Amino acid sequence: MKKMSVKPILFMIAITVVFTGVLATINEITAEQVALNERAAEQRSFLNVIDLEYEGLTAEEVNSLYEETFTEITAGGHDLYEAHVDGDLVGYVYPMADSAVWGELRGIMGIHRDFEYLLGVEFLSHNETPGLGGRIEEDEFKEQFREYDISDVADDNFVDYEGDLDAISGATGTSNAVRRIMNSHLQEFFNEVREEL
Amino acid sequence: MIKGVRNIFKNGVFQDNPVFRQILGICSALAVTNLLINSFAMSLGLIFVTSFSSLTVSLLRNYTPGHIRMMVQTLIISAYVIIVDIVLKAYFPAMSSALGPYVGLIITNCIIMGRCEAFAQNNKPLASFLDGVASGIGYMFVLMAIALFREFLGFGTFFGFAVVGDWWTNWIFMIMPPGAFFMLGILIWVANTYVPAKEENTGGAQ
Repeated sequence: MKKMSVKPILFMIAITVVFTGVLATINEITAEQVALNERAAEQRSFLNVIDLEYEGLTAEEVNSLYEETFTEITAGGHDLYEAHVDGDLVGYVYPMADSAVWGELRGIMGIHRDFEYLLGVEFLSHNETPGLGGRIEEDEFKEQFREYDISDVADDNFVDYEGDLDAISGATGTSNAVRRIMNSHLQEFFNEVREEL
Repeated sequence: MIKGVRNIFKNGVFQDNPVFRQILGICSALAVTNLLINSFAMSLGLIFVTSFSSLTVSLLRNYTPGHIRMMVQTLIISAYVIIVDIVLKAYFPAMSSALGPYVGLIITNCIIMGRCEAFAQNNKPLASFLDGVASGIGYMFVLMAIALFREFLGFGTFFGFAVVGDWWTNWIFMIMPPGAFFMLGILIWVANTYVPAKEENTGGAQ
């Protein structure tokens, strides 16, 4: 029978302690920056959805601009955000979330204060195919929703791929999922939230 | 010494190229090659991890008990991968979200463990480090070659800059994973035709 040796065990323990220590230190040093980046990424989306300029701002500046622009409110049992620029109400940011093609899609819609048109749309997280459905993140797709008319709609069909709005070619599933999610959340907004604002 | 270094690089990049000769690291070569910039960042990450893992494995090789060496290698590799992941998240958040889960998956990249096991375990630290760099460059070479064609055919761009006019029709097929299989297949074919195989493989009816 082979003799059991403790040396490998001690060696493994020692090397694990050393490497874990190094990683923990690096993690500690960067933790604040990582958290700031993650927060700033979401805050940039909020600023972008109401078409507010944030180009060239650092994560800290984005954070303070976000703080002075958005206030979280509740209306009709739903959470949403009011957006003020220079003291004037410009509109509302309404969150949306539902399953798309490969998983949950989370996003926000900027709605103009007169409820006439959209200020913009942003996708915060999704699992769509990179290079295909994933292209909903690209400006070319999102910029189409700037001042997109939602005032006059039949059958609650607010968003539809006709006229000026193009779906993403090769990603019909994701495009349709975006349409469905936006429509259902706009319906919810107009039916349940709007009167209480 | 100089000759040794030249040999390491010649083997790592051409004759023993990890991707088209040893068919290692295919998973990420297929996954991140639809844009040049992603392939470039991924390759830099991989070069860092292979070179430093090989260096560390080599430094510890005389103290590591033989039968637990794989465990030690895995530990070393994952530590370096986590470092890459954290640094990207903290200082290059845009690149971190573009590469998504593939950075973490460098851990499973067979090239790294392959080099640790085949080279670093039996060679001096500096040579092992250079071997890691060479294999990483070999990987980068293949990724960039595939990405060049996939990005051009799929988006009509080069590092994100449009190089063709509006008349260009994007080959969506090239953006999707099957496009990578075709490109990789073509590349292996070309490589087998033009990069001379090692002595023992040539000659005789094959």
